[in-house]
Amino acid sequence: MQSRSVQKTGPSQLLATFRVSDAWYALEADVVLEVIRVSSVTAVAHAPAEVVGVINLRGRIVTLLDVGLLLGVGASTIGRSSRILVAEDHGEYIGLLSDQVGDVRDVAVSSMQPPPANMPEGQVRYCKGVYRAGSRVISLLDARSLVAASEAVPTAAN
Amino acid sequence: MASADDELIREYLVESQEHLATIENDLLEMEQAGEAIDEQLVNRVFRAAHSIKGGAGFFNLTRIRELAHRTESILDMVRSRQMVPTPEMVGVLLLAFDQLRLMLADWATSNEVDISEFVSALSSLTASSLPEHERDSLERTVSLPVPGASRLIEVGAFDLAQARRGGRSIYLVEYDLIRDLQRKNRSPMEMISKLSRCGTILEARCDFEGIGTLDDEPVSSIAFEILYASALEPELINDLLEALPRSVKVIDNQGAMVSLAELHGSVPGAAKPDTLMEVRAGGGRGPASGDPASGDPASGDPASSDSASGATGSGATGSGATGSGATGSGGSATPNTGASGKPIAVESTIRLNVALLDSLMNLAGEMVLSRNQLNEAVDHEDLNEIRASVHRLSLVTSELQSMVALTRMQPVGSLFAKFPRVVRDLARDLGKQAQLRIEGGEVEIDKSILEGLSDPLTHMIRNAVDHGIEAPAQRRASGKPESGTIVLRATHQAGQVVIEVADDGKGLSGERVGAAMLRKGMISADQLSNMSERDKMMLIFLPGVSTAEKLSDISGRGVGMDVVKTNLDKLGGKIEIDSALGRGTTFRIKLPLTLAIIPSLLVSENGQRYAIPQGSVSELIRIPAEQVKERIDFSAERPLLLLRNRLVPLVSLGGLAANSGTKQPLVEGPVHIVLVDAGFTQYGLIVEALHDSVEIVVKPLGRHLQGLPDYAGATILGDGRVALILDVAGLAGRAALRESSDQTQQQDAVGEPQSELRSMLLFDNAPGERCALPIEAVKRVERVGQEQIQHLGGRRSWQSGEVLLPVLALSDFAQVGSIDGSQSWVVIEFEYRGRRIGLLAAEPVDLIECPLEVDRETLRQRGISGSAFIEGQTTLLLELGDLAEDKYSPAAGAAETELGATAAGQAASILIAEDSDFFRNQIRHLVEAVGYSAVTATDGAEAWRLLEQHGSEIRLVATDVEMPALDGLELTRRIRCDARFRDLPVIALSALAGEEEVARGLAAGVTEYQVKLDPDLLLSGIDRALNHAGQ
Repeated sequence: MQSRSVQKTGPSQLLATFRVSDAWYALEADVVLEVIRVSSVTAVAHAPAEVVGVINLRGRIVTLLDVGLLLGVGASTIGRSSRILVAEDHGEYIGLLSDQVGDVRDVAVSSMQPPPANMPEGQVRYCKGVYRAGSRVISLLDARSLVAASEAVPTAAN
Repeated sequence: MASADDELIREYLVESQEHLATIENDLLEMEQAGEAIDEQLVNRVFRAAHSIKGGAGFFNLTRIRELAHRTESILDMVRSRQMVPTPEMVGVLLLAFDQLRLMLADWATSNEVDISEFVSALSSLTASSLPEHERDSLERTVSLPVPGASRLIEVGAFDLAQARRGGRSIYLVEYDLIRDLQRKNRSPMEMISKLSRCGTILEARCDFEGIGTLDDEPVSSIAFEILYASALEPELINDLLEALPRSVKVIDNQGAMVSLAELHGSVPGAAKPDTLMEVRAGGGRGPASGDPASGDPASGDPASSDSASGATGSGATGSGATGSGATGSGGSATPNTGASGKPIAVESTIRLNVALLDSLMNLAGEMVLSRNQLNEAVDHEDLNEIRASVHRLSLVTSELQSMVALTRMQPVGSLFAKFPRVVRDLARDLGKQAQLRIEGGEVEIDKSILEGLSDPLTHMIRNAVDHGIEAPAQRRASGKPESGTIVLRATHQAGQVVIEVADDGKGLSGERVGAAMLRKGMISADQLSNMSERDKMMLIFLPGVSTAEKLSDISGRGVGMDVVKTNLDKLGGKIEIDSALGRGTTFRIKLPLTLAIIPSLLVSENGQRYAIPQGSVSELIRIPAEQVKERIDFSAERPLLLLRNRLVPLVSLGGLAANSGTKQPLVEGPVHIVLVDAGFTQYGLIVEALHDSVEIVVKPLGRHLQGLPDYAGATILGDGRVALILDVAGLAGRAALRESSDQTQQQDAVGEPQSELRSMLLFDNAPGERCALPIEAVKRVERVGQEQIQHLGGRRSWQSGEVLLPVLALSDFAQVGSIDGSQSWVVIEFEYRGRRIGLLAAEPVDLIECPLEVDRETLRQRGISGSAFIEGQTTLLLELGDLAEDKYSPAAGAAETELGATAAGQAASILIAEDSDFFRNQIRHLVEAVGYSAVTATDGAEAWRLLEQHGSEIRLVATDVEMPALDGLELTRRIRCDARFRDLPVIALSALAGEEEVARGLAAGVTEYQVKLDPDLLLSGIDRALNHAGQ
């Protein structure tokens, strides 16, 4: 399947796919540094809702974000197939919690379509486009806007 | 080539910056010394200018070289006493060095900088000190032909003449950069600084044009020529130039010389025996070896010898004057084509002691070794071996960690050095006189803290000059010396670095600051009336104070002080002010040694661990389940801890996390409390469990969590899990704790009206005699019938439920009226040291909240701490401690007698000498908890003073060993040598308790030597000592 799409069209890109809830998403493979299992997560009280907690990645403190909450499809529950995609942005490592990771796909850029009109509001802002892979529709997400800090962090009531 | 160049120039820049860093103060000292020229000092500045010049020549930085050269000429004349440093001269030099600094920072474009202004200022200085007939030598240059090359070396006639002073010889030293230096692992800068130590470099230049581009054949040699004047004789110069230059030539008075090729094989001196000579390594002794004027190459600077034989006939071969000696090859000459235009950030490098680097290397080796052992052990599945390896690895790691931390330590002196100039310039601008005294420049602190300290300190010092120090006339009028003194002092204190900026100026008035704030509406009158003098002074750190209070464009007392505070907060620093009107102000900054690694207490809550920096922990308290009800009270559903007659707000970490605020009911079982100091307030943090104290490496939190006030960062624990580091001030904000200026326990200053905002319970004693108690102390108030109060055994009591409550009346111990039968009686129940006590009072009972101006003098007596004017009536403030202590203590203390009293049956006083606040408080609380009274001292000297004052009351001394001023052992020796205290038991507490230390301690006469701090051991030690002494 991979080779076919490459042959047909010109430029292509590598996508790392993952599942959140019952939908499939993808990030450009080059922004994903690695995929790790979920070990111990330290919860952070008063953090923004999408922050699951912080984890230790070889001595770095990595903030773990719940992609499900960011996309508005509900909080993920950490299970056996849960994996963390570690992305780097501006020198900081940020973990994205997914329910399952799929393969890395080589996709023709031209096969990408704009986000469909009925895509939920919460997802449009992160979505660069969608493409079909077999029976699945995969939304390509923009890693940078995904890991960008959300609106002002609530501060203490002073 | 580009990278090698890059490295070379980096080295040059770093070195130049280092020279420049000290130059200012040296110049200022020169200015002060005036005619009493300190040769070493001048030499130091001279050499700095000199090596900057040397390197600049090497890199073809013509303008830098020229400027450095001009400054050098002046300094040379100073050290040869041809000129005397004047403020004007120093001013010009300072400016020139400033310009040099700027040009070095942007070296790539420095050749285009216009320096004519500086050059003319400097040359007119030089000219003004020369006799008329020599002035023209300044304008003339001498060209020295370099044999075998088309180029000429041009040098100012004046410089050449100066260089020859004292019979020095002039050499032209030619190195081949590649063969002579690079292959031998020498750097040009090394050679330049080496040469500079024993002579003067007149000119240094490098033939980069011959190199060509990268496309050309790789060159095998680059010429590097140095024109050098030294008192070293030709035979000795070889020892100095150990790197074996390609050739060394001597230039005679006529400027003639012969190249190596011409002389090769011929007898030296055959051609022109008296005028030139060529020397090779170990080569034959030249015949023209003159008289050995100065033979020792190691002996300082030859030029300092006073044998100034005057300027010899200045260069006869003066070829046409070509203006300045700088005939650089223009802008294209920048040697570094790779990183063109990009200034190299000198600040990002750090200088390391080689010994330190070696030990780091060693440790790294050890670590690899341990890892290999571990690997092997794992392969063999040998558990014992694994354990041993892991142990070894952990030892090496922690050593490595502390060693690496050391590499970041820098002496504060490097920062302080810039301030004398700041003070000088500012004082001149303002028409004041001020000098800066620097103390403790050798104290080391983490580099990142040092960097962050620069701005706040500059600001504070400018402030001190601008607003602290008065104008000379005013100072004279108030009987002070005209010149003000600002002391910048760094010291180590209990694991912290303390930096003080103290001026002897007019001082800061809290009243005035407060009034100004009030005028501007920054605070309310209410708030102000509740503030102590110190709190008022601290108001200058409020943001926004600046703009309105701006008194001058330089700095206002208060201008930007909020920025100072914010910056210091970021560094984990605390700032305090001490001021006496008319006598001066001291700002005291307390800083952690390093930001990277901090000792912390680990606690856990809800299965998760948190770290609390030890610096904010003041006490750990565990309240057994059965005492929880007695010791923790609720006021408006907020828990309060009764601690030594003081109420401390409690905050539950779990409650905060669960967002239920502080209104969380206490769980069953014992309560663990960490008493923390958040700067403006003290509170107790209720946690699930207390763990060890560990050293943690602070790591920043990601961007999503940056804004949270609750955390100071995160750290990784031994098991790889992440623990959040709590920010106690942030948590206080989260818990909405109000700032408390509660200093009640320290308010013993008599006569000074103190004001507090307090909730008070008002009641009558005798008719019309209004009394008040702080509400926190009150547990409940109940109306009682007069017949319900029983009089048994000379004491009043009242049956409250199942408990028979002892009831006191104020008239029992204070000179006040008695409650009589015409009043409606109430019993106010309060608790003291875990005992419930009733106070007999009369209606009307009222509860008010008001600011309190307490007069602690007029009506003070036993049981009454003072009076205040409340609701139009003078009201007596009761001192519960006195009431309970006096009347009830014998019985209350009964349960504690075994421990707290001596064999003599009396509460004994223990003198605690300990410089660490933390330990001192721990020890004090420990001994007080079992009923001793404690007197504390922060060092041995203070302890001795206290001992002399209270000698008879003190029954035992518990002293730290390592203390400033007078250490524990010395204190012990003094005690033993004094007839009054010879038999006083002394318990020494030390972090070090090796056999040797213990032996030293016992030799000094301590009764017992303990490792601090084992509470049980200490208490049993005290018990042993006192009961032994009592018998």
